[in-house]
Amino acid sequence: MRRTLAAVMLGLLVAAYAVTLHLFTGAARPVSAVVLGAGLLVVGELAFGGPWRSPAWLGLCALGGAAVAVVVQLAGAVDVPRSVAITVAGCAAVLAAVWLLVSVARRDVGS
Amino acid sequence: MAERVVTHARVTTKLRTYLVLAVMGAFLGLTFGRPAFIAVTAPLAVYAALGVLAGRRVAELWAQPIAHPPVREGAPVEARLRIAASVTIGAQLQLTPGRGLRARTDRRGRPLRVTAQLRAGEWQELAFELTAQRWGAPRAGSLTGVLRDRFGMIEHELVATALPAVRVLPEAETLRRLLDPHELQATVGSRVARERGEGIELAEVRAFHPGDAVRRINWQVSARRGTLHVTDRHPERNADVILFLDTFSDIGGTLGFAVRAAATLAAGYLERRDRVGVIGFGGVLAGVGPRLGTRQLYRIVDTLLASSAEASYANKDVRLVPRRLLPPKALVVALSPLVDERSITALLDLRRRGHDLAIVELSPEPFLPPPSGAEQQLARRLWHVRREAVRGRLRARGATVQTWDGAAPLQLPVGALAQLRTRTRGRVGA
Repeated sequence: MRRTLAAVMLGLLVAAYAVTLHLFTGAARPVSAVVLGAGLLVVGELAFGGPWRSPAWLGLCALGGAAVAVVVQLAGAVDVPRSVAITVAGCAAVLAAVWLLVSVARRDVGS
Repeated sequence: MAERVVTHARVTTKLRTYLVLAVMGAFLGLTFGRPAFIAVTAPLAVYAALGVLAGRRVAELWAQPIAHPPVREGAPVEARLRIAASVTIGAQLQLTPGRGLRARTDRRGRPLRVTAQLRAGEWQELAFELTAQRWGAPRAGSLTGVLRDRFGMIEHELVATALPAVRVLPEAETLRRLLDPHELQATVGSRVARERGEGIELAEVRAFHPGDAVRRINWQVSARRGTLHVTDRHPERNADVILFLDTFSDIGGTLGFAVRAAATLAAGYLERRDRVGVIGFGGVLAGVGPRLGTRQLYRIVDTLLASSAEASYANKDVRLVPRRLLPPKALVVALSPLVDERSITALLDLRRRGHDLAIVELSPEPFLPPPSGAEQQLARRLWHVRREAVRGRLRARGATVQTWDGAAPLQLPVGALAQLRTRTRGRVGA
């Protein structure tokens, strides 16, 4: 039930973002990205939250998510050579994917 | 005594999902040259990284089970324990109940979980509601579950921890009538003996004989008759009662009936200040010598709770039973399905040795499937004939036998045995 709800909310968010990209231009796009970034985190918490799910924690998540999204948007606005950005982000993505696969295979980390 | 609970850390589905979404966002953002895609999923990546850093701290958990007082069959049991963690963490625990206990379940039939938020170093008491279904001393269950911090990226799974045993006492009936022993002991009790002596109950008033105590002279009768008369009284004595459990076989649940019946009889006789003992005669010989009092009832119940049918091919007979468990002049109440030849031989031996023997035959018939076909019906009839022959052998030796199916109140077979014993007393010798 909880997983279904999360999947539906994720679909709605993606659809909302697609509509936003289609309808809005200029400054509205980065703002909507920030809102959706924060919203996605809140949806994730709602879907997976256990005994810790509380309004205060969800609010904190939304604020933190929005802050991170703003930082990324600002960083994206800075004129950095595109090849460097692609290399850094690609390496990070590959490392994350490899780590994920290894952890899934071992099914445990730490002790 | 608190014990440290072993935990294993593992990656959660939440972490995997967040990472997959973050990687997807990064890929889309870089491919289409739109930082907005990365901005949408970057919070997930940052959150996952913080969660992994926080969750890698090893959470130590201590559990201190709280002992539960004995309960009767069918009564609720609250398995309680105190737990504490080294860090502030959320716990979701469930108890898999032990044999003979039943936990409250959710709609899918899984035991209900208990959720708690543990503060670092603080003890918290948790309770799991169970129902005692069958007598015995089962472990309350094994505790499993997970510990998860606020981020929920890495969870610590508990290695199953056993909780202490709960003593579930067999359900006991109240019997209005018990079997009276043919012979009493020399110690004081609440049964009126047949012989004459010091007591309260009047026996007769007779003429004085030289040697009679002066204080027993009945002066009123003596004055009326003109010659000395004395009052004879019956002394109050107690009896030794030995409950003989046949633990060679347990067909469908006959041993359970035997244990319930033994607990009921023990409580009844001890209430009447008789000395009661128990012998578990089977693959493993166990027993408690006859004694008085409430503590003896608990000793007997403990022995009964530990009794189980153990497979054995050893040829055992009554000579293996220590003398202290089987005193002379004791009434032996046997609870047996009369299936194993060794227990039947042992009962015949008891009669040969002169013990007063009453047998409650725990019928295994309700637990047998109905015969199908002519051959099985014939076999069942032969089996009935053979069992009747066994009863006949025992009755010929002077034992009284009464069948009990376990469903009817125990008072029925006990009352019937009491009547039989009154009728046959003096007619059949040892």
